[in-house]
Amino acid sequence: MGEQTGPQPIQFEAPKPKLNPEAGKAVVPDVVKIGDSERKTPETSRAMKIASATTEFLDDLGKANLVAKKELGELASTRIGKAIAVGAAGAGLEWISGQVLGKAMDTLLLLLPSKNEEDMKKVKGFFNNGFIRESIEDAGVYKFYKEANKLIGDELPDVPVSYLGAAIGVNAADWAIRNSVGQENQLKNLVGIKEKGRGKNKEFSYNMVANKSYKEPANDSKTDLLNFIPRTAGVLADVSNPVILYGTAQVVEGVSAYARAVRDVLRARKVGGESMVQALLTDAKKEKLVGKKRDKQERILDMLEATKENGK
Amino acid sequence: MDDIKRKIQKTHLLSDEQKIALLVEIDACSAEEIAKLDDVLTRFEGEYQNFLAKYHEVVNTELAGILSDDGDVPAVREAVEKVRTGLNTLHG
Repeated sequence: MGEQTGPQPIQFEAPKPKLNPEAGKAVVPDVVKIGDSERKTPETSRAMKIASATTEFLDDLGKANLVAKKELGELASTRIGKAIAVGAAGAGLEWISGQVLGKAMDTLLLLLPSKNEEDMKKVKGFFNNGFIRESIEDAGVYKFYKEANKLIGDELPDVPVSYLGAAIGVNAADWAIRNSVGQENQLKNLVGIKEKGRGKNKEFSYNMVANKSYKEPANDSKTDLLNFIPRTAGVLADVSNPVILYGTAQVVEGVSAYARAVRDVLRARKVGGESMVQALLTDAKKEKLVGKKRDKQERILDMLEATKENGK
Repeated sequence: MDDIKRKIQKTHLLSDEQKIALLVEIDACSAEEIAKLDDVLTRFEGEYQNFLAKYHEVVNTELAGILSDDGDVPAVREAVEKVRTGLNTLHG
């Protein structure tokens, strides 16, 4: 695409699926680190294909999710719309935030003294800053929360502190975490977040599916910070279903584990040539044999125990 | 009514919280509302399954290659297993 000249209207595609632009990307740099910087090994290529497929899956799903939620949102005056609103008020109804962002943009444009290219670039730069963008979107979610609450007769709890202020703090933490530990760790933590039921249905509380099996290492110094992430559904690809969050996080984790395993082999190859790789594999085979032997011993012991039991 | 309740429970569109809220309200919904909801959920699940099938195909092809080349390395096998577990979870 060639470079555009002259003032250009800024168009926001609102509503927009809240696909995190960083989703999946964090995996790729990790994978690219395998071996030499520019050279792509078959292993690198495979890992990247899985990472890309994951991103594409979430992207496709995010778009379909958005369309379906819009259709349900059209039922806003019905019980279904209200029920969705109750859930959405907690998790964030992403398409509303896109509209709010569009409105904020329109307002800003009116305030601008001129609409020359330089101004436009500044404005675009401002709104392309993810932190600003997410803060504005959260303001939209808060507005929607209040609207939804009014709609269902103020059954939702009052927001005890300034939601927006909290949201800005959340975003700051969110960005800091993403930058310091990467998307992969953030993903892992996201699936471990507990959510509570809201409003009159307080008796319904649930743990996200993943929380049952995923455990953050306790000795990780960043764990405290990670545990602070209060964001759940809206962050990833407009997908709020815990099964999807957990499944894709596992895939991401698997790809990274593969990257690490391959990196060891490639390092060995680089340092010691094929003989070192063979040594690694030989060790691995030994481990397997030891494992088999242990299994066999355990089976024999079990049989002995069973014999004893029968002999009694 | 049981059918729509099952669909709500199984859908990959909504969060657990939204499912709970919907299940609480569903008995009082009109036939028209339920039909609309049913339509949206059915279409979304169809799309979800299509995306999932495409995703599976790509990932499984790569996993087969990985196992063929490096299947002797235990850490690789474990990694592959994790990816598979993730894929299987998505069917839940």
